[in-house]
Amino acid sequence: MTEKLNRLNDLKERILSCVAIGDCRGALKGAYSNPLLEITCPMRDHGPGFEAFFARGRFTIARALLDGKIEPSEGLAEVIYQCTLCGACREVCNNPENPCMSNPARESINDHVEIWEALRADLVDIGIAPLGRHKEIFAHEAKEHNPYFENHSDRLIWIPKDFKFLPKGGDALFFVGCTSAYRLNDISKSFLEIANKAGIQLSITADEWCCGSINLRSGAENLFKELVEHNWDVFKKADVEKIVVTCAGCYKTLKYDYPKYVEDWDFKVLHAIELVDQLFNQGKIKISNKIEGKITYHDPCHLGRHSGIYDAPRNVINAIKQDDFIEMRRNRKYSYCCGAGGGLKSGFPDLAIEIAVDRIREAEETGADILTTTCPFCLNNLLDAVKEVNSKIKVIELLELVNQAIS
Amino acid sequence: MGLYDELVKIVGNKYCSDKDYICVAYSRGLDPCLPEIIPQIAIRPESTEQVAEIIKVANKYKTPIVPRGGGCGLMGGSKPISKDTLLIDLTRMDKIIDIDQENHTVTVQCGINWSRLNAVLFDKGFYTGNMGPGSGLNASIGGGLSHHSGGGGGCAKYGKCSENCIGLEVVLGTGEVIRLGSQENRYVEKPFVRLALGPDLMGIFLGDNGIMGIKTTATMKIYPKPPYFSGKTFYIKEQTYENTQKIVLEMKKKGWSRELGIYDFFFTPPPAVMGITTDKLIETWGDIKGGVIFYVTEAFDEKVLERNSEILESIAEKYSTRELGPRSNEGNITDWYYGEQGHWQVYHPLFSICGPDYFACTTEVIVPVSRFPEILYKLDEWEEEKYEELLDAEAEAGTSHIVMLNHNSCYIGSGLTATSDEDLKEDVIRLWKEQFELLLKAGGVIYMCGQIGSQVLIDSRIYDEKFYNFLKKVKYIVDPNNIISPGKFRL
Repeated sequence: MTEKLNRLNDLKERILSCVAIGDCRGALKGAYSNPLLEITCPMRDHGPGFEAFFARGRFTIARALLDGKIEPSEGLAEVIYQCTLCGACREVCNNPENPCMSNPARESINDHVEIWEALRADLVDIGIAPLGRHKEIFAHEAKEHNPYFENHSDRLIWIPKDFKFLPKGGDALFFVGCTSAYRLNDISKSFLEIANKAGIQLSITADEWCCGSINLRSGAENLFKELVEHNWDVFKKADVEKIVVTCAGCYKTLKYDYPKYVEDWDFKVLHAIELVDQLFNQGKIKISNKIEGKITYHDPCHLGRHSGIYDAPRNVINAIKQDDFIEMRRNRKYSYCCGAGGGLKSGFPDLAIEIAVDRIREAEETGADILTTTCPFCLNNLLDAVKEVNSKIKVIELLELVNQAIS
Repeated sequence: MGLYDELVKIVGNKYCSDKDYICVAYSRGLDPCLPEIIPQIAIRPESTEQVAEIIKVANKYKTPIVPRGGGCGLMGGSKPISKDTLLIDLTRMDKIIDIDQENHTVTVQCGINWSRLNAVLFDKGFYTGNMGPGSGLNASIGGGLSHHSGGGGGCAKYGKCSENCIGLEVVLGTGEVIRLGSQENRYVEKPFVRLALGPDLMGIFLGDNGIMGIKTTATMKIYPKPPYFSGKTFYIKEQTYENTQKIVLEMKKKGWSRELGIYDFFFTPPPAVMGITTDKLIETWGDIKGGVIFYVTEAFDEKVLERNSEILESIAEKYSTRELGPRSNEGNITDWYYGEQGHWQVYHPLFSICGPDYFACTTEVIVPVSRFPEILYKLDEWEEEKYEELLDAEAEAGTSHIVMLNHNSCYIGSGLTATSDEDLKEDVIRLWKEQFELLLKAGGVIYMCGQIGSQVLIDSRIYDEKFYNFLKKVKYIVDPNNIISPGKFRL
């Protein structure tokens, strides 16, 4: 079986570089109220908490698989998929500010998340993954190109008739993404309205398929490749240089994963909040009603830790707020995951909400009235958590707040 | 109902597993080559009561158990020695029970780690003084107390972490729970002192390498954290061992930590080893031959700090070639560790110095300050003698750091770096044991023994025979069926 773990074998040197000091489980340096370095792995606080559920144990599992000490199994897959791929482990381990790791080890391990994704993809290839729920989703995606069990033909029915957009060309292509298209339309509508008010010409295509983030994260690389191939064709025909997204997952996938699969990739990918930040700076949109109430912000892992976009959303919040903007204790690169990523929301929905409840509690502790974020996937899970615990905090996507502020 | 079912009954299905993919993750510590044995069951209790129940069940089935905290043991201390092991992962027991700011104590469940505890204490203006082991931010209180750990910071001022322990709750090998320290008096509400009420039996469980019982709750002294500090780094080009010793002895004569506020004092003979922690030091430390010393002094008053810094500097300057610094990018490592990093706490990038799969087989010992140069020369000679054998085993020997302790002694951080290559393991382990033996026969004492160190103590007949017999009798009293960490100390 070992020889079938192709990706893991290719990554063997990186896997063997784990020193096993376990910062991925418990590191917290500096003061608790203002940490200099902190592991924020949600699986440390939720689930059974065995070593196998965080990075050090996973490296040991990967080694044991490669050495043939254990065989891949469905039980193992269940464990491996209980991870949001939030990258908190990478943040403490591969952090030049971490005094526990030498530079050579850091450089060798490089990106932990890439290794977890490779492990999942190998498990898929040998037929013991993905999990049952993921299989159903992927089967639907193969036909209808979205993970929400919706028809592809309904992808753009959310767009109000009076909204202006182009079928191709313009200043940028708006890649709507599945969650904004089928579930949380207020985000995409808000962004279109903002663009309209700023005089930005966006094109939208009904031909877009799911970006494939969920497939890549869950090990379904073949399906991901099909989606990439299709979208690449669509993008080429769109006659644009820029692609704008509202989803942090789409952002990471288009910006950092597509170039690995498409040789000639030359699109500039922007998150809508980066564009909005630019529009404020250029004076193309102006505030008319500042948003009342204290605001706190949740960094989506795909936008923050994975892509390094921390300032743009904060700049925007500072522009639209009337009252205080208060950071949660765990923010920016040590932000706590919402619990939805890495296929956890679909594979382990209760666990995903349990993690999100933690984040809601942390937001409540700031005394904020509004919790905002820049990812529909995070928003969805945080909203579920609010319902779960009857929280009074309002969870609103930042683009919606911007749209309210500039109307 | 068998062993597994009885254990599930105690902690629930969620926290007990006999699956290989769960248990395999506990087969590993920080050493590269001791056998990686998969325990038969891993279990995560949340309370002293649950630990006691688990031990009773283990007794019933005569199942060996190994307690594990942060899993940061360098010598096989927190991984199974036999296949039928029940591994108790204590990290679920990570609550801070009480911070007594008036009496300067903190009481915790022993599964909490040093970094998290100190982060909480920092917010209140306190710290544990000694910051625990140098082996990682995840190292647990229980693990530290079991090994007299200390490299994480504060040794020069506060000694080993176990010196600051004043209360313990321990589950014995019988499943009985006892409290040690002032709580031996059943009318004492909260622990506050260790030495009272008759003989100091707490010492049996401190530095016991996890063989005498399972520490579930500990009370430690906490100290107000001084707001001012100064750290200096000096390069010592020639006669580095002797010159370092002179510096230390002179500083000790002038009052060391009591008078001069010295918090930590390190000497690193091959400076490049620690220099690779941060890019900032590579340029300035990269070409240095010889050794480097660095120290941190703390004070509650700025003027006191200034006065102490001047005294310390004048001593260091006499024996050093030049000062490195003052900033970290100019070579002052204290500015990186203590300043930019917020506090000393952990210095061990050493485990991975040579790149992928090339880790440390550590042989740390404590020796008196008066003898450390002599011991270092012995290590150098040993390395020379064993050159060919080390080469064949693809291992490199060396001394990475000497950490001064509070009174008269210091830790010597020596060992080998080696790969986990199966074909070479036997040779590496042999050389590792030989180096232990050399150090022990030279008069050093090991404190974290784990599997390999504790076995060398017996195999090389280091222990006085009468003492070893006494140790066995004590072990029999606290763990009559020898179920806790069997194999260590050849018990």
